[in-house]
Amino acid sequence: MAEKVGRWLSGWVRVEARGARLAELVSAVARAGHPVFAARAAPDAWTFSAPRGALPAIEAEALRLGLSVRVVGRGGLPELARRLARHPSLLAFGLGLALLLWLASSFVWIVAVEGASEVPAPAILAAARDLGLAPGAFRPSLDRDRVARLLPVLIPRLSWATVSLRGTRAVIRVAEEAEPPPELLPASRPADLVARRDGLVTDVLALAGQPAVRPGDIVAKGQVLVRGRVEAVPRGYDPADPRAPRMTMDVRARGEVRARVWYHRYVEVPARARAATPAQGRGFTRYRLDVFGRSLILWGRREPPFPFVVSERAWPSPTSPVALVREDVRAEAPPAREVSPDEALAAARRTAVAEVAGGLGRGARVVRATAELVVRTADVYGVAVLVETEEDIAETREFAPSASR
Amino acid sequence: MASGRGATRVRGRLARLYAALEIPGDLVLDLARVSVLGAAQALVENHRGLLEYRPEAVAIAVSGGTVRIEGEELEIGVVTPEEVTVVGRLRRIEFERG
Repeated sequence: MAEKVGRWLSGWVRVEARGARLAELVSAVARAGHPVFAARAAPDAWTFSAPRGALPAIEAEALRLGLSVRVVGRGGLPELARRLARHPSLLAFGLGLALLLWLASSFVWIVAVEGASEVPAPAILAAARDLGLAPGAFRPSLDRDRVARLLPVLIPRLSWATVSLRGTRAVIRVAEEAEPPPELLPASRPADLVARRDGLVTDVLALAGQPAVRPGDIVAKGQVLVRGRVEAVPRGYDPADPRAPRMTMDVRARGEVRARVWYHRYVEVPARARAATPAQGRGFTRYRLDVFGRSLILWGRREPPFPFVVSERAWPSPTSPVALVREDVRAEAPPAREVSPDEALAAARRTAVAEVAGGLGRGARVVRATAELVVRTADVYGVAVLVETEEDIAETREFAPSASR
Repeated sequence: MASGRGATRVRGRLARLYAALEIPGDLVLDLARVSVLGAAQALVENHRGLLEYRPEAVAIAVSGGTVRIEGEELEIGVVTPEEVTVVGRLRRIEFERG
């Protein structure tokens, strides 16, 4: 393969030779250090190819052997350059094509996310877009370290991120923050399960330890739900008998205590908002070549079918006589309108529920949310929202085995 | 003639010696090496030039004789000072002592 590339780069000639001592000619040329290739024999002539530089040696040997030779073809890079030089428009087209290919390979066309299971990939892509990494980003001006550094800041549930470029494909690899698995806690120490929040107990499941609350109990944050210090009576005694001998045993309480929990949130909703339109959020990127005041759209639609606004970035600069311009075309925001109180309440409810749901652990659910308008100014609605959830409120709190309790 | 016979005898003894020592003959005796790829390509290394070429037959000079390749639609792939590649539908390869 390398030999073929070398032949193409240095150029070759196709020679037709006639005479009686054709084999000697080929052998002599090869002995002189010029490879002969693709030789074909016909009844009265041979044709073969050789490097462009072998032509004088071929002609000299043919003369010595009394053969007639003529060049019937040429090829390779020198020949291509010669042909292009004779056709300036073809040369310009070739150069333009090469420039286009170079330009196309200078942009990121695909952005992929790997390693995300809890955090939705669209959220990571949106954050990356805000940091300048999106399809259409110019590779040389892309600050990968900055994107990787700031992604976990914008999305706190990411512990780290890296950005790698493979050709025109950018890959964002992320690691999510994991809750420490319970088995990593030192299981040998005795512990209670206590309430993580105030709530109304709906279900108690004690896998180890002694339940200290029942469904229907109202518990306060920090209250013991399942005791790790278990009292027992020896076999043969009635546990209800106060005179029975008692013995205590320390265990690490395990289980689940589900409770209704209430969250109070105050949400402010703007009194004026822009109506959603079919074009809202739509947009695209296009590239333009400016040459001495004249513009040529290289890639992208000419006229979007919606009212739009354009932001531009130019390389090397907007004032250059020749500049490549990237245009981000976005749908124009519709005019603002008044938000009704019902809309404000619904929006506040959605915001509060999303905020509360984002902080809930596994198995938790939002039961209901009620909203109440508490403030109304010309600019904003102030809404108090009560979000009710059902969740496991138990958390482990260790105690010293010898401590008096 | 006698000296030629003597040289052949010496070469034969050397060949037996190198064979006993497991030394490749193409390295020390200037022997040709012929490699065949299926029935589609033959590579002759350490040759001494092309003697004949027709679409039905190629003859290549090597040390001690001629390698003759017969077949159909034979073409010379490459000829360099070290090797000759013959491609086509190969039917027979024979070595003629010269």
